[in-house]
Amino acid sequence: MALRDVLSELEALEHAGIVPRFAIGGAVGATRYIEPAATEDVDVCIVFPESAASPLAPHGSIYQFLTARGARAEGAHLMIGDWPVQFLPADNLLLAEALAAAREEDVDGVGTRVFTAEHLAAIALQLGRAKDKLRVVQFLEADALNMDVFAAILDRHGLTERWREFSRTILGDQ
Amino acid sequence: MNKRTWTTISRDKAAARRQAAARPFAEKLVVLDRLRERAHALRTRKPSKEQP
Repeated sequence: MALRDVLSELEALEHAGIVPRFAIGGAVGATRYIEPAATEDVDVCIVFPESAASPLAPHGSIYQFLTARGARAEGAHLMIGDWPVQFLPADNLLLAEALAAAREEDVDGVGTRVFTAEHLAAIALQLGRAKDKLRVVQFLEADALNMDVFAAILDRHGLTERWREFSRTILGDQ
Repeated sequence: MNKRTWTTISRDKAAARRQAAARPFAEKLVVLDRLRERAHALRTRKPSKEQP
């Protein structure tokens, strides 16, 4: 099962009302704006319905819906076809804003939603792992960021100082 | 290699990266599928029985 089919399953999940809203983040989301690079899984950011059966097991209804359609649970992931999919709650202000601002995309007839480039770069900066820093560099090299929008996001989420440090150490800015 | 050559190479690479980034999302997702298939094939490939 190809990535397009994974997106189709996510679309079905939203249409069925299991999750009110989802958006693709991580490396797959970044692929919307930069060169494709090998990745292990698909990160899906979601907001859980307020009516989730149990706050301790909010993934239950998602797993139930998708496993009935052929997906299988594997560790922290749900395997949809060949792709491990990880559902991440929008549990901080930056993720919640990214989810609200995510842009609609049409992938060969499948409707999906992807974080904006500026939010993906801000999330990468916030996470701060080596691969995230590399992703920020890739966004800059691809000219994918509206720097005014990016700066405003960094400011809202207290990441401006981290950006200055990143610019100084990674980009070599004075 | 002189500085001009390095500048030319990095400028060409940057242009190629921007061009690749501008391709349709659906097309790039197919590339991700292929990269995953290739990585899986490499991981599951049986070692050759031939001894050196």
